[in-house]
Amino acid sequence: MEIPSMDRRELFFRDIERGDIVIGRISSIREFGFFMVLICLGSGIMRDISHLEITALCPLRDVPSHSNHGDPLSYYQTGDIIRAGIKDIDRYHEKLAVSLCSSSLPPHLSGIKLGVITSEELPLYYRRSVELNSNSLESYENIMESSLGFVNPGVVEFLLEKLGIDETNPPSLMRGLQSKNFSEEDFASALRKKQSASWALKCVKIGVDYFKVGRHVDAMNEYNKALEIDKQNVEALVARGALYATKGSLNKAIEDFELALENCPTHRNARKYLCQTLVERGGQLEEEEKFLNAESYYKKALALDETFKEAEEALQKLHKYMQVILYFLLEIECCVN
Amino acid sequence: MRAGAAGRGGGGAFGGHAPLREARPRACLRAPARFSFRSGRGVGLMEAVRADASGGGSGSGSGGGAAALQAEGRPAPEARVHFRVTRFIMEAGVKLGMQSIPIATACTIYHKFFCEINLEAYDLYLVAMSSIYLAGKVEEQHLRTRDIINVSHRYFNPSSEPLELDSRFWELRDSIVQCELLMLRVLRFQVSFQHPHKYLLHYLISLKNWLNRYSWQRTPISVTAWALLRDSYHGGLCLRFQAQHLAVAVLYLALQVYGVEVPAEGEAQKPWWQVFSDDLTKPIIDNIVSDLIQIYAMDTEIP
Repeated sequence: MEIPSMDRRELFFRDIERGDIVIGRISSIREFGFFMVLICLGSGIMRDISHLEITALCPLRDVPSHSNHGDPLSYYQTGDIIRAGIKDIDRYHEKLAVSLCSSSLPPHLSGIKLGVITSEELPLYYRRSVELNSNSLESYENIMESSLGFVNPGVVEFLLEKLGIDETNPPSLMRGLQSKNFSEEDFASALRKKQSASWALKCVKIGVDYFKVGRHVDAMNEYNKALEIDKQNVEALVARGALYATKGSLNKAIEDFELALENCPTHRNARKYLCQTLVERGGQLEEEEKFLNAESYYKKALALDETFKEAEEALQKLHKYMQVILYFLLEIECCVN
Repeated sequence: MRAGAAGRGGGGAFGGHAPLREARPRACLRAPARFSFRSGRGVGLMEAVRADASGGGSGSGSGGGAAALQAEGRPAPEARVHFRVTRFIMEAGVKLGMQSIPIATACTIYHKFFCEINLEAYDLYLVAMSSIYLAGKVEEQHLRTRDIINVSHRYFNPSSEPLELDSRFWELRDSIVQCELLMLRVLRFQVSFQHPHKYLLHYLISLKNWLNRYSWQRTPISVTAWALLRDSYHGGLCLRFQAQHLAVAVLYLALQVYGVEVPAEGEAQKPWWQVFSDDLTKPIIDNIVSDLIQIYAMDTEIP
């Protein structure tokens, strides 16, 4: 914009705040501290100040010591590039005091290292402006378009985040486009879910019809189709579970019923079928003489539905049987002893 | 290569269309025309749109600009039609979860298409839906046709049940895909554009560093500028002006709206907007701003 230096200095001193990071070069070292000439800014407002010749003082007490004895200032030399945090500003007299202690920085910047830095650590905008000065015919536009960051496809999202613009509730000044007026149900994902549920239901109905006439394979195909369309469809899961139970693969049936109950805990049929299947499975295990397993299945069925008579009866029968066995075993032990 | 007076057709005789030189199968041409989404029936596309384009100037024989202003400065009736359809595009875009740039691409495709094609030739909303689909592909934010159809169906029939998977659904899907192919051919497969969004974001960052941080936080300049840029796609500004100029003008308007002054503007030798774009002049900014205000004025007139 080619604004005279005096105005730029004025604006700089108006806008600089405590806790900003500045980068400068040491110009002279005294016994009470060192002076540095600022060349660029490291946080907050990033401006071009290298020609303004602003100096800042870093007093001795703000220089952390690098060794247990000796003068901390001896670590530094004229011409070192230093990163420091602004500690005190006198806007009227245009004086700055900086510090090398990390306590001068605000909490979100406290990870940044203060002290001597190398020229590779200089901020990007400063390095670019140094190159620019040697070739001052470039315009803003040319530099921007030739920089690698500009052609990066992710640049829009990155900058949106930096500026704090939210794309999920996009701003608009039109009356009709205010996003709070859009109901949740009109959004694509909600519509898709509803549609998937209704399509899946149709498949399930066809499947149930097949099941009733005994065409089990076709029914299974329909149920699987329905579950492909809508993975969590409760009706499809219950119907498939019933089909598995009828065919005898009780474990798969139990899995399906449990999944269905997870999605919809109030589904009556799912609960009923699950209890029945659990009891049946328990019966199977009893015959295989795996009594403890059987017991756990009966107990699970009872936990789901306390009024389930069959489960209770089966459980009691099992307990009696187990008691009898235990009794026999004890008897035998006594006899042996 | 303009539509011209020839080839203005109702119903499907597109044989005389100047821009579409190659012999194309009739089915392909008929398909987008046949299924008018809005009128909800199989044939008879344009009655609904003709009723919409109010006034006598509906069929503009001069195959020129879609949103040109008439002499008195009031927007042409076609501009209103396009406004409504672009409003549909933007609303559908939000509901589909599209980002700003794909929505902008969709609107640009739509405007560019109707620069070359007569307004009455195709169902506007079908063209809009296809441009959304095409823009999603171009900008790598792929959308499923099923979602587009769902959202649009809901837009026209509010609180209705979602569509069933029947032949009507497949026909709609087919017509979107066919229309997309048609649009690609009309636009000569040049469907990637330079949008002002990138430029605007960079300008905002630079300006943010120049302004006092408290005045930046107090006034929502970036959000306003972004909103203005999004809304500008209701008209054909993207086709008439350069992307950088559009970005700077939007920023200028946002600053004016809040009465924020760029620091040291008085003492500068070069105005700040000139820094961002060398070949920009004040009259161009004024043109863009007045066009933008026209668009907002249309918003108040159209329900």
